[in-house]
Amino acid sequence: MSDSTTVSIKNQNKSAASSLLKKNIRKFMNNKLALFGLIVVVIMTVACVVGMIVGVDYNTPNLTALKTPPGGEHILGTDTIGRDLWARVLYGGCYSIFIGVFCAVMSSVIGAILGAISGYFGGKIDQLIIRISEIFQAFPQLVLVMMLVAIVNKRGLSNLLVIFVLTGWMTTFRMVRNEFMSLKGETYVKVCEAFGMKKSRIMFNQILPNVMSPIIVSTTTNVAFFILQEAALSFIGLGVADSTPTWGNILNAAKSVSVVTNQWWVWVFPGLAISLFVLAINFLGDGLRDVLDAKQQ
Amino acid sequence: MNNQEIILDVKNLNTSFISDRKQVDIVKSVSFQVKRGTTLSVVGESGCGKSVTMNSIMRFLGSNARVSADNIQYNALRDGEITEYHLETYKKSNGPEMRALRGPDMSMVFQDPMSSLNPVYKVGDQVAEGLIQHTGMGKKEAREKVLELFRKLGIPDPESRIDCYPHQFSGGMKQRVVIAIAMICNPELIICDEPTTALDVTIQAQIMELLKDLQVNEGKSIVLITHNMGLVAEMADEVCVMYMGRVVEFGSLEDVFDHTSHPYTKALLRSVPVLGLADGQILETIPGITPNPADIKGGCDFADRCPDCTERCRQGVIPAFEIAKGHRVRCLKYDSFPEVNG
Amino acid sequence: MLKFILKKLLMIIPMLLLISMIVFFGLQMTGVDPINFMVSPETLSANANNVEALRESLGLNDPLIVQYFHWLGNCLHGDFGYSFDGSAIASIIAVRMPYTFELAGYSLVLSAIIGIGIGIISAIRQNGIIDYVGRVLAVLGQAIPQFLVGIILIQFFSIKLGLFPSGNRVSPEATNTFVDAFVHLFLPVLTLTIGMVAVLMRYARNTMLDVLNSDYIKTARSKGIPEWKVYLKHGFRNAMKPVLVILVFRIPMLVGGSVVIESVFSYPGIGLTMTNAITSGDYPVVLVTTLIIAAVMLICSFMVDVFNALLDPRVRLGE
Repeated sequence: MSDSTTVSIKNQNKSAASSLLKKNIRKFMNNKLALFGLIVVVIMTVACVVGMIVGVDYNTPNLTALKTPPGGEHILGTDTIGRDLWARVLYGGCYSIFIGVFCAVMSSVIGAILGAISGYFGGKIDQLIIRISEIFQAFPQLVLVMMLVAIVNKRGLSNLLVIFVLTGWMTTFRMVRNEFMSLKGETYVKVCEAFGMKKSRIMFNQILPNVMSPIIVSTTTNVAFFILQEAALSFIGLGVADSTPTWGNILNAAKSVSVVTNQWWVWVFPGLAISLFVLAINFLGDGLRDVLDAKQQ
Repeated sequence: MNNQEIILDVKNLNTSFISDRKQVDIVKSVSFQVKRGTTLSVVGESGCGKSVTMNSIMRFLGSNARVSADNIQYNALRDGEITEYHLETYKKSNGPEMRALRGPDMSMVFQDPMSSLNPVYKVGDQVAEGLIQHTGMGKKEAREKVLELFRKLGIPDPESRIDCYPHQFSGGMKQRVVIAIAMICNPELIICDEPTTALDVTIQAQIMELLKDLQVNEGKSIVLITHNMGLVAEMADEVCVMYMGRVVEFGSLEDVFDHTSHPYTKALLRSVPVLGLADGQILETIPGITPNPADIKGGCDFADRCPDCTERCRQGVIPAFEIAKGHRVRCLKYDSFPEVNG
Repeated sequence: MLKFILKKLLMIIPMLLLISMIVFFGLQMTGVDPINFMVSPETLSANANNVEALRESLGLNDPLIVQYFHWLGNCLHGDFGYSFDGSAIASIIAVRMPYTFELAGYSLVLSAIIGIGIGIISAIRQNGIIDYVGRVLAVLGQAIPQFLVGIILIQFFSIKLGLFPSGNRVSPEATNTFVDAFVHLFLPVLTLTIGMVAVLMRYARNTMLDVLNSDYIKTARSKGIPEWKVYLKHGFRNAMKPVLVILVFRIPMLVGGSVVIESVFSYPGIGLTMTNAITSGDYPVVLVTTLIIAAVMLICSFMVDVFNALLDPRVRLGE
């Protein structure tokens, strides 16, 4: 008999969870902008990845066709040294999206772990981590990144990734810390403590799931943030090395006034790609917030 | 009954909210009267539309609310003269006509004193604001008036408390300040929206006593929204029972408490906890749950939870019947009595 | 209140010390011989024979920690050392810092007025035309990279229309300094403002909506006061605090943005100085500019705390 009841409770939970999921999916689907965002993000990512797998040629200049406007052999035209812009935008998209996603996820992970420790234990550890985050925040992130770029003195993808993650964890950290501070007073945490559960288990298995929704939302919007950050850094010439195409690196060409005036396609297409992607990510993030944020339900 | 006797006359008030492009009716053809110098209690469980009804009359609802009524008439008595105001004709919720009435004629005490006071201003200034607005009184003079009112409302050490900020007050004291804001322009009609729900039981009693004093000594008319039947028995002259946005029973305190007629009112009175419940005696609850206002269907809203429900109860709109003078019940059990609007 | 301000002010000092330490040891890590930026090139070439003696006299053979305090002492006296091209960093800063302050300051004021203004109006007239247009603009303003906005503005206003110069801060043949400043500042300020307005507008709108839904707004209405008083005296005054905090919080974004924008418009401020110094490997300049920017940031966050306290009686009365 006990068997049958446990099974039925399990089933009940399962069906309740699946109906909540269904409800959330329906809610998300009803949000036209969020759906649009999701579709655009998926299409652009798939296009870029397919472009990379197929191995479009982004690097060989077509010397007979320098600065060709869009149309004909080169759909989006060629850049100042005759490289195919369509291939570059696809390839650059891969790098840009990878930078955005990797940095957003990693900085969220670091922010969440530090925030959990800081918020759960409080006291000296909390003070120490808070001070560190305040120092990081005393710099505008871009300036901090520039300083680190100067110290590292090498412009490479991996350096950039490390620097972005190192300078990007503070917002998630603060959010998670504040949530932990209020959640650790809840009765269910006290119950776990009374059971003698391991502290790490309480932190990550019991409390953290409650903070997951805002972390997911902020990670999503951070993807857009890092993509923009990379673009800005590459634009002023301090981002990834020029040999690696990213959307920002392609846009770097627009530093010259003659390109801005005469070869509009060189900056309009990568500009459109980056804006559209960031726009879509922002819509997606807003949609996720509406669905996941329990406070609004 | 004439305008002299009735201070507020509401006929066929309907309020609905637009949410997700759908219209949800919250208050449905509500009619009631408040007699001058008496207390009307509006009772019903949470979500039955009591607060929305009063907020509709005061026009405090947001832009997604649609309010319509045949008549919302407020009769002001000034120096023996009656002036009629037809609130339903005012187009703008916060237009000059409504604003002129709020404060000097009708005012409201809100449910939660913790959030009803603006945290950034001194309480004295918040109380004086309405007075200065309506009388053009100077700051100093207004301050004297506020001090006087604080003393009357039993706020200790008013001279120093008047310059404090809301966060320095306890809940009960805050509610006294909220009452002071409502009282400062000496209105005739005070609507109290669950004024003690957010307070401790002992403080509750003090606040209620204060309101009763105001009503008895100063001849104020009070509308008291509550779900506490004990308070109703203590305070009310007349009772208006609401369920699912409709008035199901309306009458004097004796009518409703001693000649309880509507099955819902009966159930409501049975579910009041009594001190010293005998062994084995179980506190009754009303079976079933309050339906969602979005699920509209015909017939009596209480049909699903009603012990006396018949086939007829599930069709059409149930009218109200006057079973005694001034005692109206919206139930088909009494269809031998004359049908009335209300 | 005074105690509160003093306490916050005192908190800045250890933070600055710590940052300067990071900066100083960062400088050591780049492996540049510090003598190159501690002594002006003339002195260095004049004393070419006894560099070692100079080193000793400057304390460069002392332990790092002693050197740090030495350097710190110099910085406090306004002696920031020399850049690789031989000019005193202090004088570079003195010329270029005001330019950046102009750029960031005007953008801050302008975006505060426009962003908060539109945000508040959107909240009051929710779902009205201004609200709708504002929301679309906010979304676009956050999606288009700021430097791209700059490029588009250059393309349109200075190349197509020829209304404004595409860069620099002063024209050589300038006669009327005010007009000259205006035309040079217009596009960069506009670019920075667009980005800030997008963020502020959205935030101000949401905050004001929250405030307008609170109970004390209903209390204010129940007093029969005019609507503008309800919105300004009761609504805006309460929405001010979080909005101001966000405004000051966004100053790093503004400074970071101005680094990029100065590059777009070849505007000779601190940001461009820093960018050029990084690309040319002029570390002394990089580190001093970073230190200055950090100091400005700390002062800003100090100001947030003070504003916060002034606006909120709970903080002001020290509870």
